[in-house]
This record gives sequence, structure tokens and C-alpha cells, in this order.
Amino acid sequence: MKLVIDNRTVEAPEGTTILDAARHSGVAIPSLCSHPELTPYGGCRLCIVEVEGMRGFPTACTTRAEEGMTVRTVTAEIRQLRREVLQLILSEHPASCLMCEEAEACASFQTTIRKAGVTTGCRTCTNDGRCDLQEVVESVGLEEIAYPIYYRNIPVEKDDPFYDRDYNLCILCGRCVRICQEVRMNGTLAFKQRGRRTTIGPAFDRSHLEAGCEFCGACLSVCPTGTLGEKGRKWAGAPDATTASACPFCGLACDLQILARKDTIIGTLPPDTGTCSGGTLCVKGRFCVPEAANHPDRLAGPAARVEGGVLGVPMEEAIQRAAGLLKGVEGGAFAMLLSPDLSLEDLWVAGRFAREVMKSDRLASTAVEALGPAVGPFLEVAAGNRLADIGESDCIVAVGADFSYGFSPIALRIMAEARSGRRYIRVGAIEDPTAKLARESHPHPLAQESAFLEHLIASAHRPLFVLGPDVLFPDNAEAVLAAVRNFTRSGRAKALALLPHHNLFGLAALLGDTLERGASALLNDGAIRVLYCLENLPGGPRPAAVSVIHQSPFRPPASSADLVLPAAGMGEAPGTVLTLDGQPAVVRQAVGPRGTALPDWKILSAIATAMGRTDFNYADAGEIRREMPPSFALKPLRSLEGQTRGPAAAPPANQPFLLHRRPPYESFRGVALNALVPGFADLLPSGHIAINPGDAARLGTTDGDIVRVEAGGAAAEFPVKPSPRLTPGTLVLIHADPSARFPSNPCAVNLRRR
Amino acid sequence: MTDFERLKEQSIREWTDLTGGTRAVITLGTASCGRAAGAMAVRRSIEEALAKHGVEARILEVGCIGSCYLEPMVDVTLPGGPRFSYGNVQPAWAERIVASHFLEGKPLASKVVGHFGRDAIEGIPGFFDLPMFAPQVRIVLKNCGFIDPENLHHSIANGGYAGLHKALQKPPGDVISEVEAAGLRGRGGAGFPTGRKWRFCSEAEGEMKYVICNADEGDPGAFMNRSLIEGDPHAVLEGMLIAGYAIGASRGYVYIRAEYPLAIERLKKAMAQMRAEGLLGEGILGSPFSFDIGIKEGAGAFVCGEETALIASIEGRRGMPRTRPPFPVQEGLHGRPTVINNVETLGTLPHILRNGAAWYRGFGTEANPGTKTFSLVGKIRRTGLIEVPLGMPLRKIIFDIGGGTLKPFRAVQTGGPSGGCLSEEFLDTPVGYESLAKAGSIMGSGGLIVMDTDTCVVDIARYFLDFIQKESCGKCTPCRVGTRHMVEILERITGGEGELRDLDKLQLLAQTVKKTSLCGLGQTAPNPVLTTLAYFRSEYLQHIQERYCSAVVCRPLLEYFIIPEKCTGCQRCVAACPTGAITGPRAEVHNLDASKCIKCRSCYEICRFEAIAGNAIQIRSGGGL
Ligand SMILES: Cc1cc2nc3c(=O)[nH]c(=O)nc-3n(C[C@H](O)[C@H](O)[C@H](O)COP(=O)(O)O)c2cc1C
Ligand code: SF4
Ligand code: SF4
Ligand code: FES
Repeated sequence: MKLVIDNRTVEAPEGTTILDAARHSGVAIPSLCSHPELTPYGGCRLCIVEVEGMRGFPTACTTRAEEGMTVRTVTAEIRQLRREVLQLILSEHPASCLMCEEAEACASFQTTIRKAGVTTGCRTCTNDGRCDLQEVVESVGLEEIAYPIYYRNIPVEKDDPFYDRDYNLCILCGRCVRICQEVRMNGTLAFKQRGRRTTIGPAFDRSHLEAGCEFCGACLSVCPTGTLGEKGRKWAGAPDATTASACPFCGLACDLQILARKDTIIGTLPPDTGTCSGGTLCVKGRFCVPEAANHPDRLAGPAARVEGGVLGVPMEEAIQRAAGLLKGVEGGAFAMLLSPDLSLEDLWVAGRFAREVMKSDRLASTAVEALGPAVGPFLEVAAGNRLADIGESDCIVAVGADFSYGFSPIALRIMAEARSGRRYIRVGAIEDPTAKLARESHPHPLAQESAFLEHLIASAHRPLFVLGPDVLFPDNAEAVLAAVRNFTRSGRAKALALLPHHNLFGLAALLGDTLERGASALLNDGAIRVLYCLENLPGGPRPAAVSVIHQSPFRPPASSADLVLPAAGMGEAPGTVLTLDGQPAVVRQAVGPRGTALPDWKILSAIATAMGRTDFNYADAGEIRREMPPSFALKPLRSLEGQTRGPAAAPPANQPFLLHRRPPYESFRGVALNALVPGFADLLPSGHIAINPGDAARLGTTDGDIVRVEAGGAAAEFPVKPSPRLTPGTLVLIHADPSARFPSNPCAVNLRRR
Repeated sequence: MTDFERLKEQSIREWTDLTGGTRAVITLGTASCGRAAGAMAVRRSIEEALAKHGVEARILEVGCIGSCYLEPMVDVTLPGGPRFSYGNVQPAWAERIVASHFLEGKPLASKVVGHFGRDAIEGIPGFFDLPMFAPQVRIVLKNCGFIDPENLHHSIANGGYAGLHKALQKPPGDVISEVEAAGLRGRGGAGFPTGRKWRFCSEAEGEMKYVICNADEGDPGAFMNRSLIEGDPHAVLEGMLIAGYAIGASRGYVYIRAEYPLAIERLKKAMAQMRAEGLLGEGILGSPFSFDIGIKEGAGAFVCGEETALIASIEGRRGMPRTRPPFPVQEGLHGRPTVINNVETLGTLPHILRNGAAWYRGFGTEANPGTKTFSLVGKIRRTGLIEVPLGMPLRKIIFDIGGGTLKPFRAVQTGGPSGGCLSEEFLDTPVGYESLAKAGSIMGSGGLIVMDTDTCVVDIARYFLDFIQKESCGKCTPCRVGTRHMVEILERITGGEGELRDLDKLQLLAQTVKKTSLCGLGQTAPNPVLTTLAYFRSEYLQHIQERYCSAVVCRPLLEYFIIPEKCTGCQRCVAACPTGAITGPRAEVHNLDASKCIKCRSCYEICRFEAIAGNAIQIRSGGGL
């Protein structure tokens, strides 16, 4: 298709807008409300052009380019109208800085006293320097605003986690509303009110949490102004380095960009789309990275327990001390606990260290143990994971998958399928954002698992089970998984198991047949003299080992270790992990390690060398990778035959709630994410009873009130956390020790206000 | 005999039984205007009077006949006699009216306003010879005020569904041609030729198409559409069926604001009756044409009358317009080709189909054929709903039909809040889409607001713009922000703080908003300002330079004072004044302290109406302030 733009004949593909066609041929038209990922809107009116044969001034972003069209993007009148419109936009946006003659000096020397009367200006805006509005003002070229500036005096909204909202800065371009509805298919955001009172937010004056916001940050990524401000990054300024890497928080290992400034991680963005991008990350990848990376508990150097206290020691000395502790300890006297977040390189060197240097095969992981006895069949099913199955099946059944705050890219693909008419069924306790598109929703089956699942897929030809981590914790998890595994083995159905940890496949490969060996059994057999905790410190009382070496980016609890070795943290060392569909994902280094911290493999190699080995002299992670045999990758696992621990009974009348328990499996390097990131604890706190808001109101309780949970003879007290994600009658307790205190899982309980 | 002929025969029988001269009928206007004036209380007292005198009469509730200023209206027809009409009936009169007709056999001469008889009657004018009605031509409103709007048979007996019946005998393309030939233009505001719109839609590709009746009618002071639905809902529904048949649609919606409960109720009843008689649903009147209609109640946002916003609202989204093209005829409701027509456009169609295009072209002008309804409001003697052939000069409408203004005429605003404010020199403008546009105004949906010298046009411009500004959907910058700045400038001017350069700013803003707004709401919003700036510039200058409001409306420009010669010293005003600005001993001339006066008007009212006061308080503007 050919058209003429500003006297130049340009080519454009069929169906593009004039704006796209112009951009394509290098003609810049100022625009604010348009965004490549969103449907055209036509609200800001900056992109007005003249088209021969059309009345008035059509907007380039909403008008389809057509064969033979003649478009003019700059005439004297257009220029004048644009300047007028831009002035109108700015008169609703406190931005005197944009026109201030001292703007430059102010930028280098901070706020000048001339701005004393203006509470909000660019120099005090968190978005300063990465603002689309600033760029547009620059390109249109304004020297003054002929109108008074309206300050709308809207209170800044700061109560929700992760980002604040100052709608006094909002220009109502509607990008946030559109990305929330169109790309995230969530619909938390909407326009409210009319005329000068028009604003943005959840309808009916609910908070973002109440309205079902996933805190994915997509709105933030596309906002052209400083209206939406990331709490953690408010004053960090513009990044000076951007590194393409992978998210460390689950088995998807989503692509993301790590933003750094002055060698410190300040934030992340979804891949490769600049400052204004769509959002395919979940809350963890979008907001939790800098907080995990810069946590106050980060270790800057090694420490050793000496008589009378703890002593900071240089790395050299720490390595010698480790070698000393390990000297003469061999075989069964040495055990190592490992985190499923470690890279393949770290795991490989750790395996060699334990097996070759320490002559011990006593490797285990408390994180794997926390996933329960069904982890074996879960991983066996996962071995067949193919992300492409989502698009190829005719019926998707999600079991135990809570897409509220995780696995967003999977949820978006499922929702896109459901929206285009694919059958989507949900089984589980939680009402997540995909629920509105589900054809059917069922609670977790309490018995007859196989028949129940069979029934769900009865009419489907190519059914796909999507298994979320929550499938692992009910007492009949093995029965459910055995049923799914039978379907996959017989070819009746496919399955996609969502791995909750960054490199669970890698750890499984290292541990092989011993994967399901309980870490606690290992720790309590009395033979261990030295326990090496590689980013995996068991909770509870100090294990019965003579010495404990703790290697981690984070400080351990006091007196839990004899020697603490600082490992490189998030984005501080390169490596490889196996994603949940078995593909290697590359994690890149974005900043230097904190203090004297070193990559895990380097510390282990140094200790091995100090113990006299000469075959641990890797130059870099690449060399380790070359050494790893190809078989050090996904391999099918032996698994337990389905053995239910007894089905849970339907709730009796006096115990009207069904309580589901699960561990805080969202973790990073052996530490629960809700312990590392306060905002995440607002969403999924440990030790709280999550309850349907209606149920909470009936009980007369609000957020934080203590309730007594009773089941048979057992009783315990917890604070409540009302959440719209829970259906009436359902409770969820995230707790580090899932077996604690209740006779079954799920468990029929009664709830009373204390 | 076809289904329709049978139905028609039955309807005529029922209608003749009622009006054929064998029964006493008392007709009562109970549309919203009648009800607001107290029609239901009148009905009760008529029933009591009938019972008291032991006489029988059928009470027939009808829609508004148009003379809203005469509501409540009661008409009495005795067997064999003509129908006599009474206006502004109070419940207390019922007894005398009933007694006069039924016992004395003659109308109550002191109260009767007209009759509907064929022959002249001594001393009583024919109703349609009244000055308000003589210049009118009633096509759309033909049945309003005559039939029971809740009775399908009344409609059919008076020509209803004959147009549809005729249309169904022709191929759809011929129906479109007939409407094209009639030259009917959309009555919702823009005047787009209805036939052409249909042609586009019928040629658009798509299995499923829709017809939407736009009954949003959000202009303040406009009630034509409501009145038509309340008075003759079947005309509108029949029009939808004709449109549906012509473009190949099988589904229609009436988008109506929830503030019109009576109209909604009447539509629902009408649809139930249609369904029962085979006029709605599968195989209408035994033809292969099937059509169903749903009612969508709008929340009452002005912008929802704009067609793309209306579609969004029906789809359950926020009522916000989008840019066109694509037009609804290409991509409308649920992305499918959709015809949206105004209530009056649809209500006219049955008449065109029944009587033919040539007949319709017999009214109005070449470019503006047919008739148009207007709601006549403001500072005018006879307010109401009128229907006139297009091309009639404004002067005739305002002075002959409306009876003129009490004080000297100053301006007329056509087209509702987004229309223009026209001065006396435009009174000879023939009413038409182009002629009004040329004057800087619009036809709009037919609101006519008349102003006399007691109305300040600067204040009126401020009022309309403020309305628009509050109703802006907020989507596009010029409409949301530009109108806000305009309102503030106008507030400054009417507040006595205007500056000369404000006029240039207003002009510039008005041009920007007009040229760059997304939808019709923003594009027409500046009209009241642009027209008043052009035709009443001197008033703006008086406000700014002399702090003078000739209409004595703009409060900050007013001054209250006491005429000493008239003051009786009664002290009524002293008690009424909330700020103690008036002082003075009894029986002596009082003193009004302007610095304390808040211009609340209390003293003025009391001095004017209290018997012992002397009407001594005067309000004036520009008195050397
Ligand atoms: C702000 C705005 C409000 C409108 N309100 C109405 C209305 O209340 N009723 C109506 O019929 N048309 C209204 N319109 C016009 C409609 O958009 C549309 O043109 C009309 O319904 C088409 O019907 P017609 O061709 O029969 O006139 C409005 C337009 C705008 C821009
Ligand atoms: S918050 Fe930002 S993205 Fe949303 S409408 Fe306002 S300026 Fe646009
Ligand atoms: S002109 Fe006004 S009503 Fe129309 S889209 Fe723009 S803001 Fe909304
Ligand atoms: S970019 Fe086209 S109107 Fe905003």
C-alpha cells in the first residue's frame, strides 16, 4: 500500500494507522495516548493531521492508512492547534519546570528556590528524566502556558504495596486502563467520574487489593507520566545500565531486564520494550528483584563463630577455616543441603565437592521436602512439560494453580485461549484472575480423584492439565498426581506442571534417585559432624551436627552457623538454569557482588583447593558448563505409586470452613519471599488465615484480628487476612511447617473470633 | 384476508365503538407533563364527580397534545357531540365541568379552550385554529393526545403498522429507495439522510445487523422524544421494524434514559402487545421477517446520546465515544453493522411508508423536507411541544405559535446546550439544517430556548458551557480541559473580573476545542460562546468594561438600593436581610449599606409583595460601580 505523507510517497502494510505508517517512514508525529501494544484511543489529540478528503483534523493514531491517501502532518494550523492542545494537557499537570528558563541549572543543582510555591514539578517527580510528556514538550516546543494550572488536590494513594499513585499528575491518556484490560485481561482499572472530576482507579472506590489487582506493574510500565511511582525505585533516578537476564523466582525464569544505576540493581522491566512496555511479568519479577538484591540482611563478608561471639574474617581466612572444619570429615559424617534456586554450575560444583572431595552422597534439600511426598510424581509429570501444549489443547484444566501473584505468562496464554472460546476449567481453592474466563470452577476433590478428573475431560480430545504448586499439599496429592500421571502415560492427556522454584529440575538432576530423601531424616540420624548449608538452612532448632557452614547471600539467624560464607546475590553472577519446559535459561551478571561475596561455585572451589585438590580451578562459569556432561539435565524420575494419606472429609456442620495449608514456596535462595519483601508479605503473608471478605464480615473480624481455628481437639490462633481471592467457606494458611497442628489437609475447621 | 387486515378490522371496530358517537368519553392528558401538573388528582376528582351525578363515561388517558402550558388538560365528548377541551384544569373544576356537560348538555363556557368538531361553534374556537396550533403540521405527533398509547388497537385503527405492512410487500431495497426519495434527514441532530445511512448499512458485510433507537435525549429543556414515546410508542417501534426490514437486521435496541420511567413502561407494554399480535418476534405479520427488540436503560449521561458512546454503553462499557471512521454502519454494536436513528426519525417512517415519499415531500423545503418537532421553552408565553414544516421562519415559531415573549425578545438558542444563541436579526431564518449551521448554530434534536431582556446571554453561555463541561466524558483533552478554562473565563466575566484579552482567549479556546475534540459533544460545545461573542459582543464588553449586566442577572455586577420616595418605612426588609445591611427607624426612609449587602434578593422580594411595603427596593447594574 502506498500513501503520501508530507509530500513523500511511503509504503505501509495494509491495516496500519497513519501514525504507524508515518513512524515507519521516519516521520515523527507527537503522541501521548497511543502505545504500540494497545488499541488506538484518540484521547490526547496531539497526533492530529490533515488528510485530503477528510473533514477537520483526524488523529493519526486512530485513522487507518489507505491506498493513495495524502496526509500532511505539519502545517501552520496543525502546529498551532497542537501547541494549544499540549498547553491544555499541561494545564492539568503541574509542570512549570518544563517551561522554566532555569530548568537546566535546576537539573544539575537540584530544586531552585524559585519553585518554592510549586509543590509538584519535574524536579521533584520520581519520573523525571524518563517521562514521555517531557519529550513531547521538547518536540512540540512550548515556551509558556497561557492558562492557569489546575492542581486537582487528589490525595496521593499510598496504601497498596509496591507502587504509589498521584493522580494529580495524570493526563488521562488511558494507557494504564487499556493495558490492564487488553493485555492483562484483569480489569482492575477503569475511568471514574466525568468532566473535570474524571480520574482513574478501581470502580466502586475499592482498593487495588480488593479489586483483584495482581500488582503486575503493567500500568506502571506504560504510564507516560510520574503518576504511578514504584515505591522501591522512587528516587533511584534513571538506570545507567540494562542487562537482559532471567527472573529468579520460579521455574518459568521469565526474560526480564535488570536496571542498574551505579552498580546497584534499582528495578526490572519486562523484556526489551524500553521504558513503556507491556507487562508479561508477575508481581515477583516486576517488583521483588531489587528488594531481594539489596536486602538489609545481605552479607558483605564472611563471619566465624569464635569463643564469646562472632568475628568478621577476610575471605581468605574463611576459606582456610572451612577447610579446617572439613578436614578429616568424610563419608556419612558430611552432609550438604542445597537450594533449588542454585544455578546448574553451582549445583555441579557442589555435587563434585560433596561426592569427590567429601566422599559423601548425603545431599538433600529442605525446600524439596517442603513440597511434600507428591513431588516425585509431580516432577515426573513435569518432565513432559511443553509450553506449546497450551495453544494446542482443546480443553485446559488448571488444578491447584493460583495465578494471582505468579506464573502470569502462563495465565495470560490460558486466558487468551479461553477468550477465543477454548474450554477452561479450574480446580482449586482460590479465585484467581483467570476465574472470570473459566467455563467451570470446582473445589479441590476430596475423594474419587481419578473419576473426577476423568469426568472433567470426558468430551475433550486433547486435554491439558496445568498443575500449580498448590496441587502438592492436600493429603490426597499423590492420588491426584497419580491420576494425572496415568493420563499422561496413556496419552489420554498432556500436563504442564508449574515448578515453584527457579532450578528445581537442576536440583532434581543432581539428586537423582535421592531427591525424595527427607532432609530432616538425614539431619537427625546422629552421624553428621559437618553440615554444609548451601543457601538452604533448615528452619527450627539448630541441627544436631557438630559444625554448620552456611553459605548464602543473606545473614543467617544468630548462632545458627559456625561459619558464614557470603555468596553472590541476585544478578551478581552469571549462570544457567533449567526452566520448567526443560530449556536452559541464561542468567546474566548485572552488577558486581556485594562486598567480598563470591559466586557459590567459586567459594566451593576455593575450599576444595585449600583442601589440596587441584581439579577445582575453573576460570569461569563457562568452563564449568563445558565440563558438565549432557546427561546433567532433566531426567525422568522414579516416583512413588499414589498413596493417599486418607481423604479429607467434607466439612461437618459445626466446622463449616475448609482450611488449606501450604508452605511459602515463593522463595529466593532458601529464604521465603514474604520474609524478604514486605510488599509481597502484604499479598501472601505467612501465618495468616486468608478468608473471604464476606465470611470475615460475618465473623465480625477485619484485617489483623486474631481468630481461633478449631478442628477436632486441635486449636490454634492466627491473625486473619480478608482476601477477595477466596471463595466463601475457604481458608488458606501459608505456614512454614505444613504438618503442624491440624489433623488433615484440607481440614474442616471452625473459626471463632478471639 | 391477511393477518394484518383482520387485525386492522378488529382495531377499527374497537376504535369506532369508543369514538363513533355512541359513548361519553373523557380524555385526560397523562404524559409526564400532565402528571407533573397534577393530572392524576384531576382524574380522581372527575371519577368522583361522575359517581356523584350518577353518569357514566369512559376515561381515556392519552399522551401530550403539545400545549404543555395548558396541562392538565381534560376533554369531554358526549355521544353525538364534538370533543371540548379544557386547560389548566384544577380538581375543583371537575364537578362543574361534569355537571355542565352531562346535566345541562353544554360545555362550561367560562373554562373551555377549544373544540375538535368539524363545524364552527359559536363563541368557542376550534382547537386546531388556536394560534398555537394553526401554523403546525402534525405528522409524527398525529396520534399524540388522541389515542390511548397503551392500546395497540388504537394505534392500528389510526394508521399504525400500515406502513410496515406496505413495506413488507416490497423488497428491502425498495423500502430504502422510498426513504431516500422522501429525503428524510436524521432528527437526532446532524441531519444525515436516513435513506443513505440505511443504504450504507445494508451494503455492509455481516450476517448480524442491528437497529438502535436513540432515545437518550439528554439536552436540558428538550422533551420531544419522551413525549412521542409516551404519546404514541407504536409509531417508534413500527419505525424500528421498518428500519430492521430495510437493512436486514433481526435485532433492535431502544437506548433510553432511566429517568424516563413512564416512557419505558409504555414501550414495554407496547412490545408485549405487539408480541401477542405477531408484530414482534418470529415471522412478523406472517412474513419471513423476524425481529426482536430489547430495552437498554442508560444512566443519564449526555454523552451517551453520541452514537459510539451509546454503543459502548449498550455493550456494558463506560459510555465514551471513539473516533469514526469506522462508522456504526460499518462496525457498530459488537462490531457489527448498526443503524442508529433518533426516536423522531423512526416515528416519521411509518407515515412515509404509508403515504409515500411524494406526499412527505409536500411538506417542508427541497433540501429539508417534512416536519420537525421542537420543544418550545424559556421566556415565552406558550411553552410546549410543536411540529412544524421545515423552512418555517423562527419568527413565526416564536411569535405566532409561542405567542412571543413577555419582555422584549433578546435571543433564541436552537439545538440545546451545544447549539447557538441567535439574535433578533436571525428571526427570519427559515428553520433548516444548513440555514442554522450557517448562522453558527445547529438544529440539534429540536430544543428551542427563547430568551427575553431578562436573560443575560453571557450568563447563558456560561450556563451551557458549564453543563457541557460537567458532562464531558473526560476522554479527550480539548473537551475535558478546554471547556473548563472557557467556563472559568466566563465566570470571571459574569463575576465582574473579566479583562478585554479574555475575549481573545475565549475565541482561541473555542476554536481549539471545536477543531480538535474527538466527538460531537466537544466539537459543538463552543457554539454558545462563539455565537454570543459574534452576535452579542456588546454585552460582553458591557460586562467587562462597564461592569454592567443589562439583564440584571450577574449578581456581582448588581447593586441594591432604596428609592426614598417609595419607602414606607415598614421595616419588613430590615427583618428579612440576613446581614443587617438595612437599617432605619419605623416609618422613616431606610438605609441600605451596600458594603454589607450580599445580594440575596430577600429584601427585594418582600418589598415587592408585602402589602404595606412600597416596592421601593430596586436592583440595578453598572450604576457607576
Ligand atoms: C453529545 C451528543 C449527544 C447526542 N445526543 C443525542 C440524543 O440524545 N438523541 C439522539 O437521537 N441523537 C443524539 N446525538 C446524535 C447521535 O449521535 C446520532 O447522530 C443520532 O442518534 C443519529 O440518528 P438520526 O440519524 O436519526 O438523527 C447526540 C450526539 C452527540 C455528539
Ligand atoms: S495514570 Fe498514567 S497511564 Fe494512566 S491515564 Fe494517567 S497518565 Fe495515563
Ligand atoms: S469531545 Fe468530550 S465527550 Fe467527546 S470524546 Fe472528547 S471528552 Fe469525551
Ligand atoms: S496519540 Fe493520537 S490522540 Fe493521542
